[in-house]
Amino acid sequence: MVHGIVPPYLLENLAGTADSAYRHAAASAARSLAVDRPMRAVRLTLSLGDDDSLVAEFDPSPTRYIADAESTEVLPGRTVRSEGDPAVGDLAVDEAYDGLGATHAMLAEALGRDSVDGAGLPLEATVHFGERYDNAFWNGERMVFGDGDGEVFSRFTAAVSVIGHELGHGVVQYSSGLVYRGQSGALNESFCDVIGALVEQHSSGQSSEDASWLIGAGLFTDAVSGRALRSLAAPGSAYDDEVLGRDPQPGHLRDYVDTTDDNGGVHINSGIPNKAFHLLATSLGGPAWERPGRLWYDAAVRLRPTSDFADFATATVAVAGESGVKHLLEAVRAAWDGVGVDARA
Amino acid sequence: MPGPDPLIIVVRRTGGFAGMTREWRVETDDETAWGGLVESCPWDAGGDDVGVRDGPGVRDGFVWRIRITGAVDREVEVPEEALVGPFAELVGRVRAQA
Repeated sequence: MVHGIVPPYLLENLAGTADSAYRHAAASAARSLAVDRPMRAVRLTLSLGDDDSLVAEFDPSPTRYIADAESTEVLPGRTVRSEGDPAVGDLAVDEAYDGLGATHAMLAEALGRDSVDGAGLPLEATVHFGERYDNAFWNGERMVFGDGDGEVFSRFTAAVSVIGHELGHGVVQYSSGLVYRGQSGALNESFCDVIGALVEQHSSGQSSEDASWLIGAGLFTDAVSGRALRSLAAPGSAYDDEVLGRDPQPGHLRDYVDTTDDNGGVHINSGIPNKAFHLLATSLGGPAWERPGRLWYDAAVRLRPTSDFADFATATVAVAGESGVKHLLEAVRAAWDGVGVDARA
Repeated sequence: MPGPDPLIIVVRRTGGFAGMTREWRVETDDETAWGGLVESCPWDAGGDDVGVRDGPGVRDGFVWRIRITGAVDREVEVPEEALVGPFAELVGRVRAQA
């Protein structure tokens, strides 16, 4: 979507002009109007100020498009629900729509970020991707969700933490650009798990003490012995199944897994920074999307593409230090100490 | 007299949102059924570098590692979005027969 600074009424005047001197400008304005539609949604609140002056406040609100791949692997698929449309009755479509809304709300209200790019980017998702497809992914532009095989996995839209996680990849893409390999890749994955957990907690009003801290709860079928795909509270404990094996996540740097699989274990070693966030949030208590979430986010957007665990620890210590709140700085240091990661001096 | 070495084809899928590893394996001495397909794959088209993802792109996609031993020796890592053509056909056949 193109964000214009030329007001639409000016473009319309230009597009409608018959003056041949403005022939190119008119054509250009007409093109711009076509590109800009549909207009970005905002929530407008009007109120009266103390001196009876009119106060207009704009809050970011989401612009969502959900498409249906109709069991093919062809993207984007057919758009079946756009912003403001009523529920369509297809569970995956409506869960995706609601999950995008919950994620947009957490980003805007807790982190002060207007969509994944910070500038109101429309949120697009495709559901019913492939046949019995066991995955959800971010393709650089949109979230894509499979229906699951029905034996191990059910549909991937079933957990709002998964939807939040995928949008988290969009946030990373538009901010630090953490390289998807090794420690920087594990930081990328962990940031997305934290976003996923925060979206779930924010949308259900759960404090750190009451939250499950699970990612992907409800994705497994009843045939699987497991609660979820990952646990921020206890990495390595999310599932233990005869067929699938055991959750391989470490929760401490001494157990870091060196592997060539999975881009260098990005979904495995993410357990280490995940646990650090859980330690911080539970030591501070209350809603995790407030102080701990904001601190984690403010530090994450300062990272470079090749940042490692120690760089991130250092950034969180710096943000805590700038806050001037002594117990916050102590809590951040204790959290990283708990997973064996040292901030750089 | 011993016959030719069999082909052992191992397809390993890692990564994905769940980060779970799955593996499929086929052992065959049917050169006519598999040899042509194996040789038609672009094994050197990027080698291990095919799997590295620096720029914006797919996140949480599967990573496929295909390893052949026995009569021939080949190995490659392919991210899901690059799993097309002969590699996709090879993976599909191994999964179907394993």
